[in-house]
Amino acid sequence: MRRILYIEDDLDIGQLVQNHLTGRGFAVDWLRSGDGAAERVADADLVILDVMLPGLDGFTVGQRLKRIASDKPILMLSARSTIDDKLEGLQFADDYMTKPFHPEELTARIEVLLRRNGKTDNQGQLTLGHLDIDLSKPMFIDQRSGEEIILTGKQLQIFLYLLRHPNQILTKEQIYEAVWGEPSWDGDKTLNVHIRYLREKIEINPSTPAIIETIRGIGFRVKQ
Amino acid sequence: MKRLWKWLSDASRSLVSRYVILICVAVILIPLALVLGASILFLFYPPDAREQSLYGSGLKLETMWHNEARSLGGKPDEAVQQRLQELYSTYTKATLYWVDVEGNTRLQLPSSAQVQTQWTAADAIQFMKERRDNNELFTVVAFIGDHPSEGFLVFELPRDVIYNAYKNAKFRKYWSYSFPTMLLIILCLFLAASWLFFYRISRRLLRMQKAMMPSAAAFPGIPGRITVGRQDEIGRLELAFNTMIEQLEHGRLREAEEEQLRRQLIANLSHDLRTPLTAIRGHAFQLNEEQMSSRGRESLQVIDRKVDYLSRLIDNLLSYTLLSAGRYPYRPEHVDMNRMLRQLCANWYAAFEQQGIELELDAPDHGFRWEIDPQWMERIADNLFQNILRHAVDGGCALVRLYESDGKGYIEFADRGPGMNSESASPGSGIGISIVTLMAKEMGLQLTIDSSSEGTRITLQGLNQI
Repeated sequence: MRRILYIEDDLDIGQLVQNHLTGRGFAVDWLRSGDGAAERVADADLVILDVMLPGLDGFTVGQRLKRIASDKPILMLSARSTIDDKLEGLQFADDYMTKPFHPEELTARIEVLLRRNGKTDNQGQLTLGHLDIDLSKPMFIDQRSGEEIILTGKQLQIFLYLLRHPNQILTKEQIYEAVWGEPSWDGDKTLNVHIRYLREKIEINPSTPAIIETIRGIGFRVKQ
Repeated sequence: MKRLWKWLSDASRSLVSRYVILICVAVILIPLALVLGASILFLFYPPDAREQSLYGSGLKLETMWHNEARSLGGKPDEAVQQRLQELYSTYTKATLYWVDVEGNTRLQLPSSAQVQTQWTAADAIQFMKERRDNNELFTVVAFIGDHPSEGFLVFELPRDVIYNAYKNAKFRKYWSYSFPTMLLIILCLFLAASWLFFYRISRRLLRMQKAMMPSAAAFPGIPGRITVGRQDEIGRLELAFNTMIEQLEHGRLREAEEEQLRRQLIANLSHDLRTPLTAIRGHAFQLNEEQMSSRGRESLQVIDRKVDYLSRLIDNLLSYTLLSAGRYPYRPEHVDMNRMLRQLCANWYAAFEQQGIELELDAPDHGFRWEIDPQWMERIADNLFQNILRHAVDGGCALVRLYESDGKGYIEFADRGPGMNSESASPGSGIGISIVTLMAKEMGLQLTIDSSSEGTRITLQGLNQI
């Protein structure tokens, strides 16, 4: 079970977040202030930190925790929304969310941070339309025939990148940079060609794609 | 005396009295200096002083000649001749001659002298008449032995040998110019003193002007202090100037403190408003997980949307306050607008999809770059998207279009809603669009709003960077 160290002084919000995260299968260690956080950070997989705290403020606490355990992702969760606050927080924190946040967004962002840190929950098994997918191999099986679909390097990278960000619209630039590793963007022809070949392999009908959705002018999305 | 001294020292603190003193001194000084200068000149270069004459005065020569003639009375001719030779060796510039009783010229010295050899009585009288009014020759005639029976001796000298040149001849020539020259010198001195007086005044005034230059300022927009010089009118002005600057700096500090306090207050207020909103949303979310009727779920969705709206309103309020106070951090950089707008559309797509609006991005392959703050641009786009979501759901579609024309880039947000002038189902305060306007203006983007019952089109026009 993944453990979260949660530092929040507001009882109401603290209780809600604790309930929500516990319901999503996390073990939550909730502190009312930064006192004692340094001793407990070693046991946690992730830290959620408020800014306005009694005693030491969240920025200071966060910087200290980063010094002790630099590998633990820190998510700032604050009602302070100015750009200056965000920039200050992001100097050490891995993410910054402003209140009032949506509980599902909080869970999603926690998942992203943990995944980046190699702490995934599921074993990478999922079903998408007619595909059985095992992300840990990775392996793609067509349910109808039971045959494995073999993808080329770029096709695989593109598909994996989309799968790792389910329900999220990824812009052409994002995909291009993640797969090709180049910041330059020379139109979307290259990417479109690869997506077309990818669809020919994984879609039942490539002209009406059901797995990789095109968002016109913007990018692509895989819905789970 | 003491009072006079005090008056003088007081007067020295005033520019006016100092100038009056300067003029008074000049007026008294001119005649005084003239008299004094003339006296000194007269003392050292008396204009009538003459050189010492070579053979003494005419009277002395006359007496000498008569004595000589008398002493030669009754002497033989050789003795007279010898004596005359001796005298000539003393008075080399003179002409000497001896005429005997018969009227014969017995001797003339120097021998080149043009003296007649025979004298008649008429000649003698003619000679005496001529020499009497002669201005060039000084002539003494004496009978030998004081008696006409032995003949006479003549001694002649050019008069300028007796009356010698003026001692200060050169100076005497310029003596008449000395007064105007002295007057001129004194006038020049007075002019120089006046010029110096006003030059120093103007220099002190210029120093103050220089202090008002922005470069000398300790605070932006406030002049630097200056060191106070003399205690005159300008000195008092400098003191007043420094006092004014002190007050300005004080005011600026207080203003900064108040601004800081205001920012703090608004930031705290925003924080305090967000905290209960978070709790409301959290509770609504928790309720949503319970067993509930469809009407209940709808209510919860409304609560959720309202929380979103309120949260954005608070954000905008905070931003607007900072923006209008010029305290919103602005960090411009070159931004690829194509890429940025695509990312923003991607972020908002889901929200539009949920409301049944189709969001479309129409952008060229090669985008353009603007020099803007991406955070600001994000806020502008967020507000515009939010407006479409709140007011133009009925239109069913929204279009973001990027295009270039004449080196300028255009970003257009279009919807098919009922337009801005219609009675919207959810009227807002308009703070969102106010922020868009303010931010666009600050970033040098031209904002055009074109709204009708057919829809609303908001265009940002910016200068493309190479």
